[in-house]
Amino acid sequence: MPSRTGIATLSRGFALKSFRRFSLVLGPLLGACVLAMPTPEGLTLEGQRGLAILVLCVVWWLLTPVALPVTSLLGMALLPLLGVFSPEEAMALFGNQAVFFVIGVFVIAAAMLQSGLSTRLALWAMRSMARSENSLAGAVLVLSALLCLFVVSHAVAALMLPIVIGLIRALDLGPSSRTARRLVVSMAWGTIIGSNLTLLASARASLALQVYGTHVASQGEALQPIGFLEFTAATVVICAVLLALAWVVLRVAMPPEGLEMGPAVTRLDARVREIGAVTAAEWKTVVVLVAMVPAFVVWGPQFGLGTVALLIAASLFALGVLQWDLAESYVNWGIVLLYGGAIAIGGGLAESGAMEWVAQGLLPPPGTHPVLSLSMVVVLGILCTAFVANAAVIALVLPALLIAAPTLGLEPRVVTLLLSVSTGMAFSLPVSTPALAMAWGTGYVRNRDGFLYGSVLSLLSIPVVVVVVVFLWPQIGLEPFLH
Amino acid sequence: MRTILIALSTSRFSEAMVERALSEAVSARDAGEPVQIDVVYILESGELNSVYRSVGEVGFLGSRTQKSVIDTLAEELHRTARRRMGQIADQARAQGFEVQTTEREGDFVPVIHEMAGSQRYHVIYLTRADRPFISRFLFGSKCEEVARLVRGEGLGEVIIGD
Repeated sequence: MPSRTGIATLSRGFALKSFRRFSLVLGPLLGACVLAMPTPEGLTLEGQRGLAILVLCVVWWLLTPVALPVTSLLGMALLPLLGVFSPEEAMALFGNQAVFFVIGVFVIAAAMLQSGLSTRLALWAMRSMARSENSLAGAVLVLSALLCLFVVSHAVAALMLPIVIGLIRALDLGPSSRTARRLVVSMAWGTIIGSNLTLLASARASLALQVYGTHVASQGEALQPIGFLEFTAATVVICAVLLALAWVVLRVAMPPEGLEMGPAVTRLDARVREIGAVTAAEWKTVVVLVAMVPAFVVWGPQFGLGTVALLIAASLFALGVLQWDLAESYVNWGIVLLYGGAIAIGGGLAESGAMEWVAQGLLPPPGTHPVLSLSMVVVLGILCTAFVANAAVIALVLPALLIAAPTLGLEPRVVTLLLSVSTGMAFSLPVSTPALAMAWGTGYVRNRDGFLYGSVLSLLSIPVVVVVVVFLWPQIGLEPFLH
Repeated sequence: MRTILIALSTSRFSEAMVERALSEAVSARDAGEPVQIDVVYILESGELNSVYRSVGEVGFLGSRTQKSVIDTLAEELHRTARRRMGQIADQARAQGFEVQTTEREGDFVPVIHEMAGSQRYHVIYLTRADRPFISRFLFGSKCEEVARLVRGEGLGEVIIGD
């Protein structure tokens, strides 16, 4: 039996940090092994090379020895280097609607943060609901989700964090306080659930739609686009039920401590007074936001969501709500590289036949009921996104699932939405999403509590999604099964 | 003089260990030995760095947002540190001891190792919440690393809470 010191040595040897460094070599090594193998049956030489790129990208995106966008760039460079694509084809895949839509989404979020409109909305709504611990926690949960209607979810988490911390201080809560824990977890879960509400709430949904569009084009089929409102119509019930479940889980796990809410109300009042009257920048942002939704609905199908998002972003600059140097400091532009690269890699893998070969391995046994297949897609999305950035999951898993969809008896459009939603349901590990990392970073959430309650919510969310998809989506024209 | 260090950090706190440390202090005093109790709270910079990276590399939010998030978290962690150390000071005071409290930023292992070397404590209590074996195996145990270093160099006794 190893001694405690022996176990400690082993622990150090297996420490995640060291393993990340090791993965810098592991990724290329495994990729090289795939290249050196005899070409498997059913796979072309290009497909085998594509598979090698896939293996490298999976290892690096999973263990992140380098920043996520760097892996994207390397994958793009390898596509022509290994002869999967010509350089022109590989680079052309980089410029697509999803990338420009994501740029627009982040600029809109920057305008909301810079103008102070989002903070005002949050304070106003919480002030009106801070009557008891239950209603305050509920307000944080619901508001964090609703703000995602206009702002990308990670930005909402960053915006809500100081407000929630302010409430914790006003209530003079200590590090072991259940209410403090409940408030920060409500903030994180609210933004995670809200990230499914609209196409603006996360970049992964637009990436999923782009992957779907590329797949349909490669199959020579007619594209059945998923519109701005259609997306929200499909996800709103799921979000509402998950919010209710999240509230119940937190209410049971972290019951109220019987606190007096007066100090919280005073604090919120003081913050509202601090930010003063509504500014011109806020009014201009309101005008742009009011015009934004009809613009996406009316012009989106004709000109593309990316085009409309860029137009909205440009109008925010033209109206003086945002200046370029500020926009630069609000957005990490590595996102453009990550998404552009991820789409190119996914396209390359599909084109080379590597994805089709991988998809064969994903297929459940013959005769599997489509509802079970559908559930497996949800579980796959939740599991993958607990450890890998959801953009990487969409880029790598969705093309394979779309190829496998007919055999699974599932409609590709539904598979696209389903994976987008399920990769937005990582509630348990701080590595899964920035909102959870922020909540854990406050020191109020113990690892085991966060993991336990998050896992409970993730498990509960599986039947919720399946039931909504099977019974409600057909009502809005999203028939999940192929007949 | 019996010197005792109670080490706390962002991710480690166990009330049972604090009580154990104070009970050792009482025993030493009862045996006629003067007692010095120091409390250090380490704000683990590694944890804040990982949140910083998450906000930027996964959340793709820019430097302004990253800084704002980290400033908020750091401020809150300082508040927690003051609060925790204040609680321990109150507990110690109730038993007739005065304690010296310090707040340090950095990594848990080098900070404790450096303090052990410079102050030569008789005993260092590493308070921490219990972690499952699999977590310690995968992510390592900083407490055990401190114990190995301090004991190996003969810098004092280290007691780890379970």
